[in-house]
Amino acid sequence: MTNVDQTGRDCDRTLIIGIGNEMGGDDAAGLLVVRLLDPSLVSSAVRIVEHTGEAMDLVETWRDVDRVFVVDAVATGAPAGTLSRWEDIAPPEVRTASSHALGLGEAIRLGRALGAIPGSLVIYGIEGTRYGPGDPVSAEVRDASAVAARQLTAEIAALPKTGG
Amino acid sequence: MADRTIRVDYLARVEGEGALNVLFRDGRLEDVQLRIFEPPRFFEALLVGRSYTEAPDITARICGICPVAYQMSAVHALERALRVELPPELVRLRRLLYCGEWIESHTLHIYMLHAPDFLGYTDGIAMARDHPDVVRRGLRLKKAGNEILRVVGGRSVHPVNVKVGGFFRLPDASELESLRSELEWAREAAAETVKWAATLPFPDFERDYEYVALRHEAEYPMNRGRIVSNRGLDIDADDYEQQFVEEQVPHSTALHSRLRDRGHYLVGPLARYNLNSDQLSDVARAAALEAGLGDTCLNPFRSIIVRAVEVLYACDEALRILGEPVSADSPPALSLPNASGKGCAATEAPRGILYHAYAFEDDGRISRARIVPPTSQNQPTIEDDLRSLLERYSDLEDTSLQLKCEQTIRNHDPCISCATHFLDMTVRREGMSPTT
Repeated sequence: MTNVDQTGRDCDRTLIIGIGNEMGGDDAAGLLVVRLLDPSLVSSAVRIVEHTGEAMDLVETWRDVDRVFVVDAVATGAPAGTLSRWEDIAPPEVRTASSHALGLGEAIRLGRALGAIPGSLVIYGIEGTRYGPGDPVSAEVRDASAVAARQLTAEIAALPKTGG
Repeated sequence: MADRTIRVDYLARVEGEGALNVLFRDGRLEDVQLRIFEPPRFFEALLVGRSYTEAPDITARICGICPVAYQMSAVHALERALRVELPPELVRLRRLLYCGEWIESHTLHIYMLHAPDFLGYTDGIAMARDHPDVVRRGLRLKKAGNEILRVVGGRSVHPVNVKVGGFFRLPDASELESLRSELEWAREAAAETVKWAATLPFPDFERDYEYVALRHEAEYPMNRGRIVSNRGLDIDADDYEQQFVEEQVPHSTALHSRLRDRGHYLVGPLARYNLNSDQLSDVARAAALEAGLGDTCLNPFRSIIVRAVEVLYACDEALRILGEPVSADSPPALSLPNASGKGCAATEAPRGILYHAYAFEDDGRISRARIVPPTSQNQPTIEDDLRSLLERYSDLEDTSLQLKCEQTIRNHDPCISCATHFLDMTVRREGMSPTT
């Protein structure tokens, strides 16, 4: 089990945020991924946070962080389980499928309005298919989560080692 | 004959998925139907067959904004069923946790959902561009509430530390003390929020609701108290299902709640304030008076001020609780008897009374669960507000009328994640020429 932190305190160089709701079917995708990450990734410079995706709190969570990776369920119309990666994308090009009216897209726009956006923002999106209360995670999303965790682990491991 | 239709396909600041249908016929308002979907009903079925010990954490997932409310109503209902009573220290910690949720939930609504209506912005993000310092204050204030959830609830989102009989783990004195300095800042920021909210432009629109809230002889209500109203209701939660009935209506998947033989009613900040303003702390009461609130507030548009007063109260109350002694060797939870039981409780979620009732067998498996969230209780009253507003402003062109309707709905902060994202609004005008 990855040493998941809930605080998202200031001064991390790299923050990995898994967004989701465990009781919302494929909405759990972001949580699944961060729980599958290699625990050795965590250091004084790399932290992992689980999050509901609520916009105001997201902006506070990534305040003063250099580099942020966000993992969330998305609805782009692609087949279920499709894994996408976007870098510094401008919402609403991506609309997240989390169960919140003010979610990741609004957090990015709010962060930009306030000048509170990380220097690097990478979004891993997993296409979900069912979001009902109590629904199990679909096989497609479960498989894609494992792939995303491996890909993200490799990407973090390849980052320059500073301060950590 | 001319029909006129307005569709709003995306409305982010209504915390609910649903639709509003309005019909004018020959210039007169014929019908108003608000639909908000209601996932708690799915959770009632989901809980049956599960252990009662799972109820607090399962129901907390109904809402990402007010998980503590679901945990509190669940544990109180189950503890009443088991006839266990918590020691004062655990009661205080639960109240502290609830303070955290009131701060973060109300602050979200004040700054990001409601204030943009009064200042003419499409959303809180547009407002942030022109008022960055105001919005930054809101962000930091909300985070102060989240920090309470993290320390007492175990984490800042979907807290996991609450259990039937107490907590899994008690925060130690140093963890609680770490909250103090930011809460002192938050109390000042909340006082500024009250002053700022009072400067917003409010229409003259008073409503004569039956207000329903908890009332406790010793405190502004959160976790406990009798269910009372301004029209003489005064019952224990045990009598809730005798006094309140829920009805299906053809236009909505949500059940409409009403008081038996009396009709619709309102729960939430206005109701709490109107029935309990004498229980506010000195700081909160003084700020309310300075903001122009009397002992009661009958204008739902001014609910933004009342929410700000409740944020101030929650900060003040949290600091008071932090000043109470903490015993280092108190057990985090009571041991629970093995028995069947049934019990119910109502607590004050940020949006109003949240009622839970459970029955469970000897093996602890739940045989019945009932959850009545505040949004479904307020839905008929929101429709009444809309009816009154639409009659008064029927001459407005559709875009302005639509904005008025949205703001009227937002006055009552219908729940975001107890429902979901969008409101589709349709206005039909039959038997008359389109307005301009």
